[in-house]
Amino acid sequence: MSSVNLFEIENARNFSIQDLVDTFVDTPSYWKLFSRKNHIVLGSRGSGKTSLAKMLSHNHLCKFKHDRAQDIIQSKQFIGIFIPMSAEWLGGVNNIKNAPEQSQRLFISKLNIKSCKALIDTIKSCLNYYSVDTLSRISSEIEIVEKLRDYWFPLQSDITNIKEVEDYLNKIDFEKQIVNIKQRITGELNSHNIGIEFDVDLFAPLKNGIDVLTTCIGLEDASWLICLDEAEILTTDQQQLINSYLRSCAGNMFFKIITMPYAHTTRLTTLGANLNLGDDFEYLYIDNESTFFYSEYATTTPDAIKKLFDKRVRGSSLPQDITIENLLGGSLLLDKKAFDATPGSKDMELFYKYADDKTINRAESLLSRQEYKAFNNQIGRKMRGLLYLRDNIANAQGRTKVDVYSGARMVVQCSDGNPRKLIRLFKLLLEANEDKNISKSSLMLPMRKQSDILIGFSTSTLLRIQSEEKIGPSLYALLLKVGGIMHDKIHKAKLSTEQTYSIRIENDIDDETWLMIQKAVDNGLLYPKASSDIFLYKQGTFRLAYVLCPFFKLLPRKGRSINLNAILDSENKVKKEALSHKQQLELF
Amino acid sequence: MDFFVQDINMSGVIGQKYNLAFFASGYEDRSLNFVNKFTADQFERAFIIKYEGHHEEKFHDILYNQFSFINTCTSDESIIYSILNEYVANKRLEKLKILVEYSSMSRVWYTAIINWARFAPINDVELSFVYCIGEYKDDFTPLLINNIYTLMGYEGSSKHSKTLAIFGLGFDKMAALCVIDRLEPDLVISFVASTEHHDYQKKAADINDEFTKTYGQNELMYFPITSVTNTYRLMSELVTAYVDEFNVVFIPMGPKPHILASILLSSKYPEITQIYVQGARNPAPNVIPTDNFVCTKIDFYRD
Repeated sequence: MSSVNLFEIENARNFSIQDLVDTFVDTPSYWKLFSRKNHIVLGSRGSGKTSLAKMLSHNHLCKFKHDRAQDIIQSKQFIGIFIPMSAEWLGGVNNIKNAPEQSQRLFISKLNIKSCKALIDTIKSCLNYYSVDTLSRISSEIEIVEKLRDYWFPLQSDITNIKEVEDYLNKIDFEKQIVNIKQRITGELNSHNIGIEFDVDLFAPLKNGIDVLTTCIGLEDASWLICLDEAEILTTDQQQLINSYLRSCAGNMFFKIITMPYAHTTRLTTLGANLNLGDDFEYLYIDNESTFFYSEYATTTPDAIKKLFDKRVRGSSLPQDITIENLLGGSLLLDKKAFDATPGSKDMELFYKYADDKTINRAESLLSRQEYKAFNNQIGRKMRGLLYLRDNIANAQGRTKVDVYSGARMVVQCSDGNPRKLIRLFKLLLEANEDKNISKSSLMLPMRKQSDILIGFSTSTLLRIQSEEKIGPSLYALLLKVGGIMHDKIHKAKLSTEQTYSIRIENDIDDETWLMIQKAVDNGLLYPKASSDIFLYKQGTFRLAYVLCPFFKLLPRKGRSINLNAILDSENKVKKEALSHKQQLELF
Repeated sequence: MDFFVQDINMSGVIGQKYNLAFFASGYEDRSLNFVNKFTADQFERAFIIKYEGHHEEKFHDILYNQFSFINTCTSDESIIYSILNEYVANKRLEKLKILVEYSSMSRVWYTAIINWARFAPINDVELSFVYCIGEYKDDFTPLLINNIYTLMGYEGSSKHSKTLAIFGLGFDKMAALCVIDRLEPDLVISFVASTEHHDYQKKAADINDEFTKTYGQNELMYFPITSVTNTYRLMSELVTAYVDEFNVVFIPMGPKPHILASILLSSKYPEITQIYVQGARNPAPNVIPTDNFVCTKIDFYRD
């Protein structure tokens, strides 16, 4: 059992190898990555991108109890290397102002060292897996270190094992920082000899290391999957350097670049030719996968959600046999239930109260012909949840509170299939129960409490976008407007079977608004109806994230779209005013 | 180069002579407050750093002929290095004394002065940092993040597999939540400033309630705003418990004496990373100066 409470962990970056392997759910996208193609994997924050990338790496894959995974490992068909990048790691490069060449040299050097450190993890894993016994493992390690020395540290004859190689890479990474700051202070680019073996072409030291490992372990037929995580932190110039590798067919190295949907900002290379979608790389968009959703007709919890929940329960002090249904119960708005068309039923009462005349006429026509199935498919199924939502909100006054944002299906739907959102919601819901003496029978959280938590989570998700770089307040205002229009259609007008939950963007949208849409997608507040090339064009249809539905009092489901320009025509004045305010720099 | 940190009072600053002095102009009333307490003959050279592109600085009304004005952007510190290098060039100085009034100063600029002192070509550098505690009359509008990056010279190390993020929280509810989404640390510790006014602490705790409940593994910690030395010591005790196991990342978003203490801590523990969340508020709050000053002397010396 893990020593940590897994409810505290929200992202794969921090999982131990075994934790991640145990909680990982394979998807079609995951298996697509095992190919001799360059991929740019796109997903909003918390969508599980890092899990995918880590699970490609040899040290994770070899622990994955899956026939296909074990086949890849044993056949040595693909060897994955996970290279984590992060804002704090790259920050030192990006804060060099007015010296682009110095910044680029430092970036190449740092990424070379980082990739070699990542290769060390792969070397250890391969040694452990492919060595037949301890003696052969030790002799292979000695051979590998000796050969690496020729490429990486020819003057360091005292380095004799992998741990010392790792320490040396950390040391030169650190010493290079000191050299860099001294050069910055003095303005003199003094020559130095610290780690100069890494001040070469990008990925050249990694390639040398791979060659060493190939020879010593016998990996001649392997394809190497180089996974660069968090590529959204890269500047356009840095992306251009990496693009050059995708363009130039780097032998048996295939890149899997993990980033946010609109963060791959250039297809330029340093080779004078652009990257071609299809020839040089493919996009793989993972937000729309159904792994973490209930399907419409599902009557039990989908395996992926159950697995996510159960594995985390195992790391907690909760009763080990609790289920999501124990905790949250059913959903009045989303659980599949036939519309009760009996005259005088609650369903019919609400229908006559809130439906528009046209829909009532259609319904009466169908019911008069006793076409109950058609009525349910065309009207009842689509409207039942809406009617109860409308009624619940209309009656929520004084001490009567909203309680319809509750139930397992609602909680899962409001996480947008995003594992991080789902874990955060699980955590909040479980903490709300912490005062209770938890047992399986008394675990269910009151619906009102669940609704409070979902609405609070939704509100917080929306509010924090105000701090988003450059366009936060404008994006916040835009989302308020869009959500407000959708709200009014449900709560201030008579209802029909079709509701608006998406916006449509034409390519005549201005750049600033387009930037807002991109940021909203990157942050999981809008989701594009995706095709493989959607991210190349300034257009598309985007649904409002389900996580925002409790805030706007919407039903979290797909629906019709409305042209954003129609919204902006009325919004434009407000937007321009908001943007005209002088931005003052915060000083601390 | 090692250093020694010491709290001093105003008498340890007023009336002293300095080789160099750095002030910053700004849009706050606070930026006017301290410069009036000096006479220009206390400094051999004095500089007022202006925010490039900003036209509302209060310093325009104070015409100190003896001061040199420097225009630079908040993220560029290179001109500060040039001034310092130029000053010491061809001089045989036993000791260099520099006054830094940092109440309205970008942290990039005063970090540059500390960085220069760390690697200075002379044996003894005395930095006197002065900060005027401000009063915030109104609620803040949300901080709009412009950039998140590491401070030059404080990139730290990423040799461990786990990361501890130590957040210095202020009165902004959303920015810290935004930042933590990007950093994705394994462990989070957060602190706010403690002052004589209990209301301040309660307000800071209330504003950051969601952050601490969602991410805080410990209770919110309180570090004094009036003593950089004590804050530095408390931070040291905190960090030593983790630095051998975690990559430690500081994200100070609260008052500047805390930022100064954390930068000094990173000078002592170079493996610590200093993250700078640069942002803007609209409208920017006008900070009213009080009569309370935080003065800190830092002696950099070679063994």
